[in-house]
Amino acid sequence: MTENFDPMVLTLLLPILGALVVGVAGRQLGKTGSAFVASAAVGCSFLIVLSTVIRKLTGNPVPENIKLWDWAALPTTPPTTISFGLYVDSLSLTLMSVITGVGFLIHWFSSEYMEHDPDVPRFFTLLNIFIAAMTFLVLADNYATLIIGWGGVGFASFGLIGFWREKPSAAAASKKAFVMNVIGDIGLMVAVFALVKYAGTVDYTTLFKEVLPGLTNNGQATGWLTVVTLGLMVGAYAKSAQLPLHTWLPDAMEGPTPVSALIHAATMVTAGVYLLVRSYMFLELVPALATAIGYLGVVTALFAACCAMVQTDLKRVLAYSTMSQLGYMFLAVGVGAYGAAVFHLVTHAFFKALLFLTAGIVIHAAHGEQDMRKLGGLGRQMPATAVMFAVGSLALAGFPLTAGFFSKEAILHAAHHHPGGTPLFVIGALVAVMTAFYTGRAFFLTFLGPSKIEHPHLPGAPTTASCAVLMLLSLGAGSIHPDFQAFLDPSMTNHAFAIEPGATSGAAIGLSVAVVVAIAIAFAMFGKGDRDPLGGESPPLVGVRNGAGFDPFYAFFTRAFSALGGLTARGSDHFLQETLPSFVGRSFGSLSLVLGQIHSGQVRHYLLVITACVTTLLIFSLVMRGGV
Amino acid sequence: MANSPEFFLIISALVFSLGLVGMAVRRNPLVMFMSIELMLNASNLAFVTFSRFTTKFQGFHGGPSDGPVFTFVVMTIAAAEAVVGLGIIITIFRNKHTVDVDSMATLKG
Repeated sequence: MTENFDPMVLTLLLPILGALVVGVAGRQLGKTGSAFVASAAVGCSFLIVLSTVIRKLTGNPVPENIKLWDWAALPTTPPTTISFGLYVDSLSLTLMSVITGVGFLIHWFSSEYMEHDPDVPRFFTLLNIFIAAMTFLVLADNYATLIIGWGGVGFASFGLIGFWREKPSAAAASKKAFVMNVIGDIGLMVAVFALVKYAGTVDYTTLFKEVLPGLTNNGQATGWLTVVTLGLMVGAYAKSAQLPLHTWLPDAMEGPTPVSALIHAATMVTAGVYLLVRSYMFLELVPALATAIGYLGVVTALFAACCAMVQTDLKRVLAYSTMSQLGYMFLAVGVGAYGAAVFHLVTHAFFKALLFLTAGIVIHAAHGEQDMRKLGGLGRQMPATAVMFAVGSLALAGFPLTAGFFSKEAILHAAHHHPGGTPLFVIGALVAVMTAFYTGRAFFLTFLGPSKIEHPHLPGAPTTASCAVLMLLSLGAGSIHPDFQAFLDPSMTNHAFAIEPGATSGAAIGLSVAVVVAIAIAFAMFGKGDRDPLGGESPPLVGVRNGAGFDPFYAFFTRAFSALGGLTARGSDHFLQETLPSFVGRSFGSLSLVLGQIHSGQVRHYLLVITACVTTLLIFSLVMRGGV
Repeated sequence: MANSPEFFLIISALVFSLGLVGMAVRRNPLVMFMSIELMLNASNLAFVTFSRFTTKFQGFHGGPSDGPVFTFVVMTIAAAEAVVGLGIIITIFRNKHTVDVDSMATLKG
């Protein structure tokens, strides 16, 4: 227990309180009131985080561990406890700034965007639950309580993907996301069980200050470390939609667009990156798995970029680009560039939230149309939105001097200098070019060419303003890069970062040129906005567009289980619940029909029977006694 | 003769049989009630006879046997039964305008 009340506790309490108030009294608050309470809770959280960041920047940057209470005892020798506490260091503060900051902007955006929905209080309740869970996920001071936040964001994501529950596709997508996330939860739980058994603690401070450094000095990687790291990886892969546990993310676009922006682009999917960066010492101890993470990351990036190139749905382009950018972050984690991974996480949160929110404006404007082939020419009709979307696209493409350029370049730079990282660098650079191409395609198809939408619905002040803030961040966030590294360093006690700002390196210049060329090619192909060679219906295009066969593969398992379920439903269940009980019921019915014939309803008959019986019994008992 | 229990027991059995036959053959509920009274009083007679002529069945606490007590119980029950039964008969009459017992066979299976 700390003697002084730390304001960081409030960042956790405020969204919980907001969710409670809006959840219980949402009907009384009305739409505006619900939006205001929820936004205010997150906004205040953000201010507290900001003040803590400033305190850290100006004062002592050492990680703080706020122990609130002991949560559970562990049966280890000597006995230890799982504490319920907050771990405030520069890593968790960075994540917190993104979660509450971008989260607040998206709440603000939603207050206008969702105003015509009949179920606004439920929406904001779930958003606040999400923020609270995410807050706890990054602030938890050990792996066991981290699972609370981990499961909480999974739940909030489930509720928000399926927010329009009357849509069967949304309900199916939410189920899919939940199942995939639970696979990750199992991985995480296995990791925690292994930690309890072999390390005897799940506490970050103890693990990273005492247990793991001791192992590092031994130079011996033991088996349980591999188990823990694998478990953490499975958790991270499911949450961050990496191959092969990615299939839920494109479908998650069934949710409302602000949800896509907040959860499935800016924050929740980055939880996996956070988890791996937080656990970087495990990765250092099991270098084989770190290499695997790097390669899987770059393969995911490539795969998702391929899928994104042929999408026709604007939101699905963004979904696949998210997966691709998360692949970059995992690549960075794999090559040990944790700072670059977190930096890309931050810039990605800005520009991807911007892209999703402006895409939401476009979809509203187009009266619900998301197919890029049916959009077009919106640039003349809504120039402000077009500019904001363009900035987001440029940042995503890694156009020079946008935020995305600095972070992506840092990752590629790190991959280039990593021993044996040349293939990673080459594929990563290729994906960067592809990214520039498909973002260009999405922008040109949507905003250039002939107008196809009559009377677009123009955005109001809150949506435009929140997007404008994100636009400025997407443009300018790159400039904090060197300072960011210094800010993050205290979180990485044992890791020496050797990342110089690489904007002047040859790779950076090459990247800039390639990106510009790719955008130019995209302009040449799609600049007229009326022709889309990649939007065709030929079998290979459709195959890649639908996720290149992963869905049918998983559907095989679900079909197998549902066939098994059908078998038991028709076989044993039907017999046990229908045939057998009704047989019992019918047989008793017919038996009583027979027995009922005895009853004539005449008193004298009963009397005679009773008399006869009693007399018989009397005689019988007398005979037995040898009397008479 | 009047000193032997058999005399009283035979009278009791005769009265009981009379009630039983009356019960079986009559269709008027009032007469059936009277038959029930006959059977109850026959059993009362048996109770007091046994109480008077035997020492085998001692009452609690070693006192005289409990037979006379039971006659009072039986009489009380008979009175209560008459009240309820007559009430039922009146209700039936109001509903069906007849008290013929044979016509009341709605409980047959």
